[in-house]
Amino acid sequence: MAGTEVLGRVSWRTGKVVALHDETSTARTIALVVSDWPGHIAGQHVDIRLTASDGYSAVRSYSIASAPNSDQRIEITVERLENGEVSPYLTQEVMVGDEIELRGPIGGWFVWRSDQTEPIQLVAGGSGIVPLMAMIRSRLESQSNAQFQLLYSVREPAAAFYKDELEAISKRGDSLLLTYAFTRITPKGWPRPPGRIDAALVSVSVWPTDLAPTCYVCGPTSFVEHVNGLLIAAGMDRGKIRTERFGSTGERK
Amino acid sequence: MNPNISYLDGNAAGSELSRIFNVDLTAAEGQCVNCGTKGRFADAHLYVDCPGLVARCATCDHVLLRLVNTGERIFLDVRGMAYLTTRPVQS
Amino acid sequence: MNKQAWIAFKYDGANLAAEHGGPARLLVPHLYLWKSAKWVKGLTLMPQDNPGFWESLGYHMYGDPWREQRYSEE
Repeated sequence: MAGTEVLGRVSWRTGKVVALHDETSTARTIALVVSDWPGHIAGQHVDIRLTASDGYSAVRSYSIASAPNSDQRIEITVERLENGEVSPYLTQEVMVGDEIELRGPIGGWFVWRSDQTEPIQLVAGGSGIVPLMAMIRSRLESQSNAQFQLLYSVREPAAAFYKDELEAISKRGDSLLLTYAFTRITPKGWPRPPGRIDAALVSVSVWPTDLAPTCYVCGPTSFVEHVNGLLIAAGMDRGKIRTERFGSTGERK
Repeated sequence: MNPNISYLDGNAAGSELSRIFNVDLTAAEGQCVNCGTKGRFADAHLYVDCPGLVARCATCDHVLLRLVNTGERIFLDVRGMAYLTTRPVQS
Repeated sequence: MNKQAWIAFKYDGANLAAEHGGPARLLVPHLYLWKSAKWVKGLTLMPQDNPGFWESLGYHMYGDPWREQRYSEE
């Protein structure tokens, strides 16, 4: 691996909310400006800490959704979990102008650097799309020519994040091959019945193994284990598959 | 072995480990003392719903690493790994 | 077992589920919950206390929540 590893940052910083955008009825993107932000690499995450008036605090990890830039601005996309301790606040109560404590960026393995030239296979399950979106955006930002392909598994079209942006990018013709896998409800006329990713879908929507792609798989643990098994069975090099598990509820502590 | 327990992976140990180590260890390669499997720390099964962190070998489930952060002290047990190897930080 | 510690193997009339420690778990209601070991395979009575999985890594040997004995005192 070329270059230095980005150091994990331990100290808490304050980020100011500058924009909010609803991705779906339960997920929201929060844009933060962090005054001494050291920069990040696509795929890294931040820890967010909420402290109640009685001193009780909860920390949760959220992947950075935005590409590296020099603006000291990052975006995270948060999905509201029913019994979550942090996500209900972030998705329903936070307002522009609020300050949020965060720490990071964290992570040195599940990252894509713009000096990588090999074909990239991204496989996302639900909110696992977030760090992969940072990679897609980073590829555009850096004007990389690396071939990217995304297989994105969600319950139904309304649950997908970044729909318009992904459609625009994939229509450009030179940037991203995009395949959706809907597990519960499909759009009218969809050629594939609802269901999770299987070997048949992998065989038509993933880079051929002889291209020796690097694969990034992200989502709930059971999704990652399932897809990992399918990729290995299809002949992908185990050492070229990078995974990030979000836990059964899709939340990372 | 408890099939109902859900685990994360070594990526989720990044911030706790960065309190001790200057280098990101999720990309480090290690060897399980029990079964000899070599792998990235990021691929270890990580359990966080407990009094500390426990990382287990993805192949044989042996405990690779345990970490407790009491707020005043960090305790780290890495007896489950024969070694961890990574590039040093360039200065 | 004395009156304060239990071996639990049923809950609400049904066998204890694996994710809650079944088939059998220790239940020690007067101490911190990590002392209530799940998936118990056996009991060994010893004349001296030895640190367990968490006690050997910074947690308190006794663990009385009323006295906030979460971490070892050294």
